[in-house]
Amino acid sequence: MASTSATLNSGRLAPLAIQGTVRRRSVTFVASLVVIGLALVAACFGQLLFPNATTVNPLQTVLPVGSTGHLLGTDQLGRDVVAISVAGAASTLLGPVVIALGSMVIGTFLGLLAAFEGRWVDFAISRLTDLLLSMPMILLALVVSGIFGASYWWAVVLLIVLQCPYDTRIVRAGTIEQVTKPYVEAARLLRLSRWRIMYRHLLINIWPLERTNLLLNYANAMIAMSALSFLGVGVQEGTANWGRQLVDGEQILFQNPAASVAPAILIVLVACAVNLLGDSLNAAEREAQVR
Amino acid sequence: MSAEATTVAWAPAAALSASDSGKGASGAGSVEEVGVPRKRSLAEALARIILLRTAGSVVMLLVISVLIFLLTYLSPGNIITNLTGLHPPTPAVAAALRREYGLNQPLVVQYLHWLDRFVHGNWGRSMRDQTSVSQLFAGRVGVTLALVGLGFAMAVLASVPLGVIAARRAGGMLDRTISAVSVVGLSAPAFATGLLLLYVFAYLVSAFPPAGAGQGLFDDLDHLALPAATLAIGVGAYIVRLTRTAMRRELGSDYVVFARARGVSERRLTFVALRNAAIPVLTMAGLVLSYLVGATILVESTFSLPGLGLLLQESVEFKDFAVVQFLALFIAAVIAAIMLLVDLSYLVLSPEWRQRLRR
Amino acid sequence: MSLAVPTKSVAARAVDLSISSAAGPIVSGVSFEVPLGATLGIVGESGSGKSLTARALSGLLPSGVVASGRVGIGERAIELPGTPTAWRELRGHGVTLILQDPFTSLSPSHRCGAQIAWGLRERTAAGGRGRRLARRDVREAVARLLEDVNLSERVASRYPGELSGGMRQRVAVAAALAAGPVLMVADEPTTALDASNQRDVLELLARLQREHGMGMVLISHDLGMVRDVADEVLVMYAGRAVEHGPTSAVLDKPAHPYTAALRDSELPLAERLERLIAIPGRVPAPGERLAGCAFAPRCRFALDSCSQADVPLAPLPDGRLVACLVSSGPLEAARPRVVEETTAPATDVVLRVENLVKSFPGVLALAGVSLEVPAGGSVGIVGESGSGKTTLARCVAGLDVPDSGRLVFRELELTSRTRTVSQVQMVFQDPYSALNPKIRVGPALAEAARAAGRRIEQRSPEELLELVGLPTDYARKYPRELSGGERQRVAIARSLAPGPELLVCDESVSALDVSVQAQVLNLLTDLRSQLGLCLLFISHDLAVVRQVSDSIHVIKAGRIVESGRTHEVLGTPGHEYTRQLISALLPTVGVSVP
Repeated sequence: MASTSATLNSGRLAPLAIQGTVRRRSVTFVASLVVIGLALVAACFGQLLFPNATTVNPLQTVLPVGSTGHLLGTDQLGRDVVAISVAGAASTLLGPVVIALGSMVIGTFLGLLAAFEGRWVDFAISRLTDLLLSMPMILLALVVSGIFGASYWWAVVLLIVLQCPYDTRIVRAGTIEQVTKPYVEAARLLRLSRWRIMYRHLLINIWPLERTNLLLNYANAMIAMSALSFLGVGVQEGTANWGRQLVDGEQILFQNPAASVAPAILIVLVACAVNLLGDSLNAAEREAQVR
Repeated sequence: MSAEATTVAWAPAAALSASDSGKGASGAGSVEEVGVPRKRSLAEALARIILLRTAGSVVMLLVISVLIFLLTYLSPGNIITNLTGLHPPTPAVAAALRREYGLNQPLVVQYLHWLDRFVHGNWGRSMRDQTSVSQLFAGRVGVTLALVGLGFAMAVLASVPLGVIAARRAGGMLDRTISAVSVVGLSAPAFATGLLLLYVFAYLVSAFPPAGAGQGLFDDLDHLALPAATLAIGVGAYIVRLTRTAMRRELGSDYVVFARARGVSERRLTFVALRNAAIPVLTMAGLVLSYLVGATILVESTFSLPGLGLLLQESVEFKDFAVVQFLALFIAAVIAAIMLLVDLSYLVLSPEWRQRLRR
Repeated sequence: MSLAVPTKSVAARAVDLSISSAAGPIVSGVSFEVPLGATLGIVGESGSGKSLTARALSGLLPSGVVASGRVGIGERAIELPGTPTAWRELRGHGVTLILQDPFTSLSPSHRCGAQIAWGLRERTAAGGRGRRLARRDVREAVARLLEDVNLSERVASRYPGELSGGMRQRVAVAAALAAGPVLMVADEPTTALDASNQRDVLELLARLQREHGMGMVLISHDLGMVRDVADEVLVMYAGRAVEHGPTSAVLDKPAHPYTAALRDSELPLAERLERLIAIPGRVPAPGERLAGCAFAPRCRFALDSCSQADVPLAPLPDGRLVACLVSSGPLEAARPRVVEETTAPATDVVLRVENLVKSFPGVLALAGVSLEVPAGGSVGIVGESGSGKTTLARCVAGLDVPDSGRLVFRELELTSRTRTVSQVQMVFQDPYSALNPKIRVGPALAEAARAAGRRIEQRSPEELLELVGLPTDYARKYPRELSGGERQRVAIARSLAPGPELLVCDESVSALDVSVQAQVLNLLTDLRSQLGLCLLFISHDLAVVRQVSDSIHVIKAGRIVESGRTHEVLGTPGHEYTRQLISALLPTVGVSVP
């Protein structure tokens, strides 16, 4: 059959530079970066900014928003809401980084392997992935960590295990798209080792997909971790952690709603910013591919 | 709980090979019959695939049930104390428990007994107050069903049209607004949305009650409004994204260009594209379902709704194994059943799938 | 050319049609007229802008691409780009477009009859947009349309997935006819079909045009097809019209150097040329186009004045229009030297294929194939799609393992253990996916050379590039910066890097423009003599195989049906199937084979 798309892949329209398109992006892009930047600062330097944030003050009553010295009031343990929120950034935001990265590394390894080797390897990996995916993440995480007891970092490990099927699926699908292409067959004809083909030839073509996925993964991980914290997994009552603060603050909702509302807004804000950034990069990547 | 609609799903429609242009050679000038011979009757192929898929689901469920069964044994601590709760049991009680649960027998036998009991509806008793699990379940399932039903219905009714509109006017103000709003909906975990809604509508504006389920139908709806809205926002945002992505892809395809070139109206084109977009959207049903389950647990917790989600959370906290096991397996079974239906729905919706079956 | 006085006999008019994108102008100032009942062929290669011109006639340009100028359909005119409302009035019953790929132009989830019916409208005397048909009339109308395209009315209840490519294209034609268009634009309507189907669809279009009195614009890169069907031809190069006139004049006695070069690049079936005529260089991309005649950099007649100012279309004495400062009439055809074909002297055998059998689930691809490739020789395999030729190529190269049979390379039986990279290598069909897009040319070639290890003397990437006639600074480029022909050369360089003795070419020039095909085929011939390379050349295109192989095998349904020296097999074909293949080409190749 005469090939057609190749002949009609006519005079190349000069590819739009990725950088150019991203820079031309709107206010949302900049705003996202700002939000994420601030969040990072809070996470890394929270200790320095508010060294006494977590000091419990049993004599302090719950103060509402606008009280002197406490812009957002105090929470049920007498701590300033602003301070505790900044302090909570670290716990909320850093664990998910490990989850996102860990999930990506494992997912990439399994996804590449499944798509490249095919047959039994693919079957085994895919069935395993299906099994893990057939159960909702929160449910599994809740049950497993609840029954076995889990500290913060064990919850992180658990979420890595629960998240990597998603990554595996995505990497596998992206790789399958590439694997039948002639350049991969040419590499096979050169009798290059499977690892070289997977990591030198395939990975660089999958990488753009993964790069944007990483951001979205992070957002998911953050949301999942904070959900677990909300449900009481991995963080004790009173810990500086946005999810935990939210559930702790529900008790005093009518006295100082800020204790719950502030962390709620923070979670939404950061997750939004990361998602929007991920979307921007996604769109820019797709535009660059139109050739 | 993956927030993004991956465009590279293993969509069945994506991988059709187009290599058969040589089939059905035409005779010059003669009126022609359909060239592709039928290999199997449709009924036969359908029966085969239904059987295969169902068997697959059952196997999956069995594997999950084994894992769930093993929970009690893998959990730290003595098995007896796990079953009785915090108080160390007297030897007599311990012996009785051993007999009742057959703890002296090999693991496999215990599993089979457990499975047997489960299938026959003997789900054990809650360790906290000794009520039977089935009673507990009956008491709570209504609330959850109502919540999920209402929330999901609201979500679908609002988001599919929004997704279509966004796709039709891709790049325009309306699209960007809808997309931005959907990102917020996706990024906000159910408990955060729930809390914010709670704050605004139950505290600032006393429109709805803050917690619990109600008495009677209208009071129920009153109590369910905010939780259902919370669910709807999260799931809805997801569905908007999915619909938009799928529709955009369809609207950009050759058959739409060709139809437009023939003078087919934009309105009809939208429906044609929607019909074709249904399949890629359905392949994501599993993810949507997953999200829904997680969100329901969170919403019930936030609003203190006495449903299955809250029951699960409490049971996990108190290590009430019987209840946890039952709920986990129940949810898995429901998900498996729904996914089976979705898989079979491809056959109804996609002539391509039906075609491939025959080969 | 004014639109002030619309004539009833004109189907369509384009005045000063220009199309541009962010990257630059794609089409500049094209004008033409299509009378009712006549066909205009628009001919050009990649980058000529012909496809976008077709789309512009329906207002269906992709986003980011904008058109200007005026288009008249029937008695209405529209100022481009035109509003959606204005186009709604014209599409369907005014102008309709047939796309190239029958596998994607129909919705997979709707029945054929329904899809045809979507466009049905009553034909009004005033030529305006008629009403939709009443329900009971729809079925009858659909059946009539299907009959018009030689399909049974039962096809109406089928889904596109149940039909073959040729049938789908005919359903598409029926659908396009539904509203009774005045102008039908067909964009490469047969390129995706097999040779036999191609002829049928073309004949169908010609007949329908006569019966319905439509005007037709046929876009194609295939000169032969256009010659058969079109009354007038417009030749486009790099977005400009370079020649425009009656078909026989323009295609048989071309006056513009580009048209002449195109004609000369056509591969003859009757004889083997020593060297194929190719056009050096490549088509400029939209952003690269400079002032003056676009073709000047590649033109053998070019003068300095050609590159200074744009060259407009000017009439020649015989009535046609040519955009050339130098030419004043038909250009002489190049007369390339013909090769004397004799029976080959016996040499040693490099590859022996013995009784290869290979099947896939449900399909027997190879049913016992045997052949030999002599040292330094070139063996062609000819067959249609589904014949098993690609499977054969893959088995020889080692990408697939045959179920039974032997492959013997210079007395060594080939198994996965005995294979080395310096025995057999392969060049694939699609140059756009043949190179890893994220790796530069230099490193890719270096890696390929290294794969052979110490077995051969390592050639550097620069040496390899020189070998295939590319500048050495291409080593720093990414594949996306290269044209299709250049990419294919790099692919050839890569496959030569490990020093193979046999090169398998699987449809390696099928995806290239005609002028570029010749470049690559010449390259392969040169490499054969330079390196002592032998070739196993696989193609569906008889003319290509004729020019590149000493002996050929005709393959059908997994079996070789005829073999022999190329000139003998094609001159006096023994098997019925071979005769069929040759006759499918005949009208397009203007030389009859006895």
